[in-house]
Amino acid sequence: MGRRKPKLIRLLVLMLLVGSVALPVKADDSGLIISVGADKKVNKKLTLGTELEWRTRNNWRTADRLALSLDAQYRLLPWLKAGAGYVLLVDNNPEKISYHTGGDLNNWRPSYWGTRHRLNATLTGTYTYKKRFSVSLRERYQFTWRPTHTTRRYDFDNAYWEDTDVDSRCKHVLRSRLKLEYNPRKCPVDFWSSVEFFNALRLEKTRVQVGADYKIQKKHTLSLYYRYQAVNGDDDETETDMHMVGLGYNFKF
Amino acid sequence: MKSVIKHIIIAMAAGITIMLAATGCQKDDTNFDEVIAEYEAQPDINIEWDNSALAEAPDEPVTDETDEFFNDYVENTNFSNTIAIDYNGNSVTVSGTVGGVMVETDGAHVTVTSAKGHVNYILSGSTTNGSFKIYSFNKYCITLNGVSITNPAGAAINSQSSKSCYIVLPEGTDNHLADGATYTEVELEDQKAALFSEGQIIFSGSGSLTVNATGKAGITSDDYIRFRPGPHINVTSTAGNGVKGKDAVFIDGGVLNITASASGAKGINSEGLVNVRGGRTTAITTGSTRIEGTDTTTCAALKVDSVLNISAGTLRLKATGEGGKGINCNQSITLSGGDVAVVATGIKEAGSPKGVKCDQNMTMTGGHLYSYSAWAAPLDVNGILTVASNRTRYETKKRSINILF
Repeated sequence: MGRRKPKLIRLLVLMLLVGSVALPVKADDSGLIISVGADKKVNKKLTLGTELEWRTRNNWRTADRLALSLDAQYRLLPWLKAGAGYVLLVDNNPEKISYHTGGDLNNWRPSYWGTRHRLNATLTGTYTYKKRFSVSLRERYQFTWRPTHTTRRYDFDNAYWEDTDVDSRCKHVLRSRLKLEYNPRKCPVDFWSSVEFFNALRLEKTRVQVGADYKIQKKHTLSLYYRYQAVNGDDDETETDMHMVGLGYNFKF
Repeated sequence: MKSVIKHIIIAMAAGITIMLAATGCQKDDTNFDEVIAEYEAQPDINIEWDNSALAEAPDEPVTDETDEFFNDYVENTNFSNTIAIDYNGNSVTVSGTVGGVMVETDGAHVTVTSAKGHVNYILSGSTTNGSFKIYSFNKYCITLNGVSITNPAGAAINSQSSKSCYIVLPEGTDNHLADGATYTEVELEDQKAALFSEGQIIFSGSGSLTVNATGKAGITSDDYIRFRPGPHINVTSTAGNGVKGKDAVFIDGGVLNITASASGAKGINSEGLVNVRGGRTTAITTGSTRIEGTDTTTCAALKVDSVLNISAGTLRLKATGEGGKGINCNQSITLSGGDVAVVATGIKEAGSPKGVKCDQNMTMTGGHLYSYSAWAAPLDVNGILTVASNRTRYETKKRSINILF
């Protein structure tokens, strides 16, 4: 056991390194994630869950999004779970500024609140070693639909505000997450680390997280984590590299 | 234990509430308030006709006979032969006879055929159905001695002579010329305006003249037009250009107010050059771009096909219609003096409503230029813009430019 721990630590370090290789050096932003969730174990195999999440950006100063999710997880095998979920996303879409070729301002669309709907399907395989260490691989397919939204923008050429439609859009993403967890003996805190890749025909985003879950009691868990998210270029045009701190509370019943 | 958990949850809820209140409350949009204010800025000057009196230095005639423009001064010719034509409603009284000059009348329509030089035609009285038409082999003078002529079927004054036409406005006289909405055309003859001449027109005196054109342009010469210091001339045209000197327009002085409201019309227009060296000129166009097939013609308060030189005087130019320009110059502009204000407030659709558009070089060594365009460039110079270094102000904003020496 004593010899295996360093291997796991080395693996954790390796994961972080792999993740950080894909992190470009850009002007990063930072934000906060606050979430409150609840899980209901219907039976030994089926668990239903819900979560409300609040995110900020712009160095914590600006609201980024509010998300309400509902999901179900079914244990197919002792080491394999399948899940499906729906997420209602209410986004504060950042401003968008366009310029003419010569550098003159063309249009400015200020930030606006809009909604998105997301469906996902998940398969998670977990390997646990002596109830202290576990490695899990989660593959998640997610489909996100953004309905058409009418907002306003400023046309600098004609010096007036006008309505503009943000077109509806569908997006398919395959998310692959590798997670390591460590549960020290006689300690109510689980430590974990993960790296996750977002693929939509190409690698769009890499997310590295390090955190701890504190089980206050069997039913109540507090989470604290750090997330670094590197955007390699997606068609959202608005996401930037982010340092985030997450705080979560989960209630199981 | 349950109590502890309850406290923890309450503490968490409170903490989250505080964090939510403390974070996410600020927008991260760029502050464009000042930029937008600049884009939506209104012009600094309100350009309207100015009918106030203008104090001008005496107009000294050129006395050097070799001077290119010696002939433009009526004082340099002795118009001792006079024919007085007094309009009275539908009739006219002609006084005086000059050998070689034939005066025919048809109601209040007068036609002069002259083989004699140095004749001064003195027009007075009033008619709403009359005209003055002249064929002359020599230069001649028309003295508008308090006359009002409206011709419902053509030009009020129509000169078919290619010789110099001196139009003198005696001090204290108010004169009015108007055309009709439709012209009765004469084969092989042009009549392009309410006041038209095949030859050059030179205005002098200190009286006033009002020209109202509804059928064609206000004042047109197929040669050039010179405005000497002294007269006060107001021109409106709803159907064509305000003033057009085909070969050139020289503004030496006087008060000139022009409004042209037709689509594609120009306030002042020349296929040649325009020289401004005095006076106070206000030209306004209100029409939009004229579209004929694939051709588009934008309005311009001042349209110059050749070069524009401004050395003195006050120039107020405004275009309010779609695509209308303040100054549209096909060649170069030289500004060495004077006070020039240009405002283009029309929107941008078929035409681009620029304040000053110069297709070649523009050089400014003196004077004052203020140009404003609500929807496009206040100053668009396709060649090189040169502003002498001794300027005292050079202020460029999104909608305006202000250069002062």
